[in-house]
Amino acid sequence: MANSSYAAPEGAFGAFGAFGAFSGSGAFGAFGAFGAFGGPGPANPPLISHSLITNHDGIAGTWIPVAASDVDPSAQESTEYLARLSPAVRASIYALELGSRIGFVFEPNATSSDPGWGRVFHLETSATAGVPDATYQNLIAMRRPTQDIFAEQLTLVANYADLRQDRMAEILAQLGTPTEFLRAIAYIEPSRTPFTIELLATAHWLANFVEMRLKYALACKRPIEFSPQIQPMIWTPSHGSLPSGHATEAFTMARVLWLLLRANSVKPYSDGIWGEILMRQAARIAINRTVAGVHFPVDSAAGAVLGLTLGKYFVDRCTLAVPSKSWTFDGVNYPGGLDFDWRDYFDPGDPANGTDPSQKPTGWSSGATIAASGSTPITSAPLNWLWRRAADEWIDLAVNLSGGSGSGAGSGSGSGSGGSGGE
Amino acid sequence: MTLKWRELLGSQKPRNPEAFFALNAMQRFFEADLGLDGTGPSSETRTFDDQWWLALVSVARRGDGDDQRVSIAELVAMAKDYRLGPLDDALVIPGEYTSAYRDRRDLDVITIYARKAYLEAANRPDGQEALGIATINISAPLDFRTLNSASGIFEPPTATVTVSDDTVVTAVIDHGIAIAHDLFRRNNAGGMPIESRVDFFLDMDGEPDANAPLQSTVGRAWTRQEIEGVLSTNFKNGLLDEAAVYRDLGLINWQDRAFNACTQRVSHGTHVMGLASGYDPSDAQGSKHRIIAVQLPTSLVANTIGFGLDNSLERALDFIGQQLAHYEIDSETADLPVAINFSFGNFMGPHDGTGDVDRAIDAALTAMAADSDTPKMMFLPSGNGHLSRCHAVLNLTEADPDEALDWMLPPGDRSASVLSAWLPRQVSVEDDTVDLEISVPGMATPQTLSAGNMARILLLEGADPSGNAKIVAVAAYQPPRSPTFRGRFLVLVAPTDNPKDARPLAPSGIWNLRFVKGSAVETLALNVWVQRDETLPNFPVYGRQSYLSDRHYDRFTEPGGSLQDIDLSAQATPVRRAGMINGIACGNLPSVIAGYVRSDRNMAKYSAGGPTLNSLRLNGPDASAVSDDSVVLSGVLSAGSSSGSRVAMNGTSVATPRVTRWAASEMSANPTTPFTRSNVINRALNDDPNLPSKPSLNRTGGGRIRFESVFGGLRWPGQ
Repeated sequence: MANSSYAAPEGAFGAFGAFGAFSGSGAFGAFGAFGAFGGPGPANPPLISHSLITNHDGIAGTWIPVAASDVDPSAQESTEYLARLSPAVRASIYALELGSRIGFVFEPNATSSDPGWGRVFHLETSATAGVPDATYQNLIAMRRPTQDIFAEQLTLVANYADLRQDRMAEILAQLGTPTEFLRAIAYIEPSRTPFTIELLATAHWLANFVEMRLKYALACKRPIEFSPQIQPMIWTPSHGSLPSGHATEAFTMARVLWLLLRANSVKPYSDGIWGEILMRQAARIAINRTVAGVHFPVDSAAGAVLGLTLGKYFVDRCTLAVPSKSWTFDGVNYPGGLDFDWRDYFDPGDPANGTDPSQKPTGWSSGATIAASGSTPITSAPLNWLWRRAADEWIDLAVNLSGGSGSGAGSGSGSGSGGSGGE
Repeated sequence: MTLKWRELLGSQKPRNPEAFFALNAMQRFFEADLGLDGTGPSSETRTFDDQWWLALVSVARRGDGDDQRVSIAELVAMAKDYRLGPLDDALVIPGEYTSAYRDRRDLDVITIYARKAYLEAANRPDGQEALGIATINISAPLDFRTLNSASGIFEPPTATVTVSDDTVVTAVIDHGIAIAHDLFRRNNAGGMPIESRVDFFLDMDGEPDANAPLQSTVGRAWTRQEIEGVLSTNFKNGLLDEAAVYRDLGLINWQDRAFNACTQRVSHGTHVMGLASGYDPSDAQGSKHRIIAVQLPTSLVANTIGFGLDNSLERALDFIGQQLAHYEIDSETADLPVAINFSFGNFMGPHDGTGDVDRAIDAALTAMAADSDTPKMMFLPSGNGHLSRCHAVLNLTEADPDEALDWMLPPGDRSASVLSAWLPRQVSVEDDTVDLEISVPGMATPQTLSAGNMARILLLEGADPSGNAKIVAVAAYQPPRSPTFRGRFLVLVAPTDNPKDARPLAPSGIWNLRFVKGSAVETLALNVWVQRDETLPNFPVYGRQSYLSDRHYDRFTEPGGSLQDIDLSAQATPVRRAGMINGIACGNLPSVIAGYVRSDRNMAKYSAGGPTLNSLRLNGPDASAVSDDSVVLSGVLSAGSSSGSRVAMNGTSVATPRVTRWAASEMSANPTTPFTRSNVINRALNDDPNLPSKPSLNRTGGGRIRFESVFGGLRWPGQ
């Protein structure tokens, strides 16, 4: 099957497979371990194993028993330990930290004007003895557009086909992870910023985890199912159309990355242009899916709202903050002829000059403050560990021009809150 | 499918076969392409008869004098009083024509907007007497959204543009112009590139806005103030959000249009305008090089039916002429020099300067130059059709009285194919001068059409699925008439393909055209041209080029060798490379530019040349400029659609604006010194002395001008 080239048709989650692009170079072998999600892990070569057996026989000698006091037990639930784990093992830990705090319900409604809501929750837990107290907090609510809206959107999809020649290389390359495109903006490189790559992959995992459940629940038909004239230039994935997975993932990762870059107040990253370009990148990835013929513009709009929300949520989880904002996307109110424009949903502002970035409401998406539950929530030390490691990769090594010490340490480790911008 | 020839006689006979063909033979294809056949969007209720056409017409003469022509006001009155019922609701006079202009009796070629009812009536045998129309050029219906519903005469806008006395206007008429590219902007006092150098922009694809300061009959005209408003709204974090700018300007509209040139990496007009007048926003030159840009209608550009795109040119030139009145120096009306670039071309026309488009260009330049002390020049490409096999010269003699041409109509051609054969210049053609025998693929018997002093028109008809007769081709002969005075055979063939059911289609393959000299003349030279109908670069596939197929024409210097770009005199083929010059670039006044390769200084293989049949332009081009950096680095660099981007594009389209750029600088330096074709020729002669290596004058004109490359340093330094 043609699947073998580039990525499987379920390209949205090709992201992890795409780390293979890194593992292809031996220097980045460590991240080949992300193959745990896809390909085989590191091998035990038979020759070495056989040698170790005979070698053991040759040198181990007579067995000497060991007393319990000879070895101290490891500290439990210690983030120090995370550094010694393989990235694949850590990924499983992050997956539980994130996934176990996400809830989902679908509220069906039989009427055509109210297609029903998919609701994603943050499960706020607080420490008590034994079983923790848990409160479901709204995080995302999404309702699919009516069939009329999709039909109207289809003309946009048909017209966008004109750009396929121009965008083909991008569309095929973007079947993999958005990291490949974000790394052209921020100085991400496997040896230089391994934890940034791991953090982005983790955010990517969360986006995919949530978006797939929503897609399944909302069950929106793809453009190819509306007309034989769309003829997408790539496989249409088997999952539903809205929200767009590519939009969700790209916007999640773009927002996470900008917050990360700003975590240590390093000079240029608070300039609005960094957010501007990161959001343009996410939008380009989203729009290219419409060019390819597999998504409606409204799918990108839903994906952008979902992704921006999840990006901020993810950073809240990573920085020990209580998630504070929930968003709804009501597809029923989306204007049928409306194209996707990222500026409708996010304003990067210019944090360096006092204008904070903000996620923007529209006639079909709005934000609400999550009411505090009153108790002290459990936070995630592993996610915070990952965040701090990644943030440290962006500490400026600039010459200290005023002090003259020349050591160049930046403004300290980015441990705590999610950076300078208020958002 | 059975095809049959039928001759139209008497009052059935249209005067202009092209217009007849467009309105009748092409109807089912336009209906299919525009979704008028009931398969379009459900809101689509328009019919073919409702469509508006942009028509370039010449008005009838009432006497011999230049001031005895029918005025526009009379045209309107004649339409109202038409004997078969009023036609004034099927005619719109551009609101840009002032009342004084409408009363003038010395107008020749003008633009009107009309529906089929008017065009058909004007095309009848009595159309000249009844409606005052001498000739009609139409091509394809306009996008209905672009027509201004406001009727009457537009109020001349009062806005003024204050400039300095070394200011020059570069006017670019093109398609796909990303006017917000940073090369067309200037830094403001704060160093932000948000001032536009485009003072006026007519987007003929735009939707009219009744509140806009500048009104246009077709499309949307923008002033610099408006453009700068859009720029500053969309200037975010030090960057222009260009997609947002073009959405606000209506140049990107995915809801209504499948083709948005500004979204493509390469857009023709952006590249051309970059070369003609692109300056870095910080470059002080930018403040004195002002721009007027006109974007032609996509529906006419994309439709390669042939006799069409140039129709909108008169509108563009008129727009440019009108905007010049807005410039002021020290509160006095400025008389600014103007360099106009029109990097488009086709293959048809008499190639002697008497074609309607040639005349419209000469007239517009003359009108702009009237009462002016500064140069008004236009620059046109010599064309890229050198190797297109679309020209033949037939020399019929007593010894060799007949010659046949194989005209190849490719399958999958969704546009019409057109061929014309011109007789020599003469006031009258005797009977038994020459016959044309047309053999259609699949038809056993050829059809004969004779030249003489009577116009003739034959229809080749097939049947649609319901059995109704439909036109597949039109073959016509037209006797000589003013001002060209050449008899002409014309063969117009419907598309060979359409994705919808537009049967009957024209049969693809070899259409054999045999020309047989009669006894009335001893020798006869015929000039044959095939119209350009290939899809333009970056456009969705539509037309495919028809051509003259001849086994004696050597396309390559040797088997597997390079393309042969000279006509070897030893060759026994009538198919010629020479004379493929752009059919609208044969007039007296504009400067015509060919293309050469910078690295080896050979002419670009595609660069077309003369000779022409115009005694004031026998060589063809006036000069050549670089159109390719090298054989492997095709094209030259200029602006891509997005700010900061540079892309390569080739063709005489890109050689021409390099000359326009130089001319504008010369004009700016010496505003009151005349600048004409001679200046271009002299510079070329100076740069390219007569050495044996110099290409023929028909290819290169005065010679290869050595300009410093504008953006080529990005490819290799020192260009």
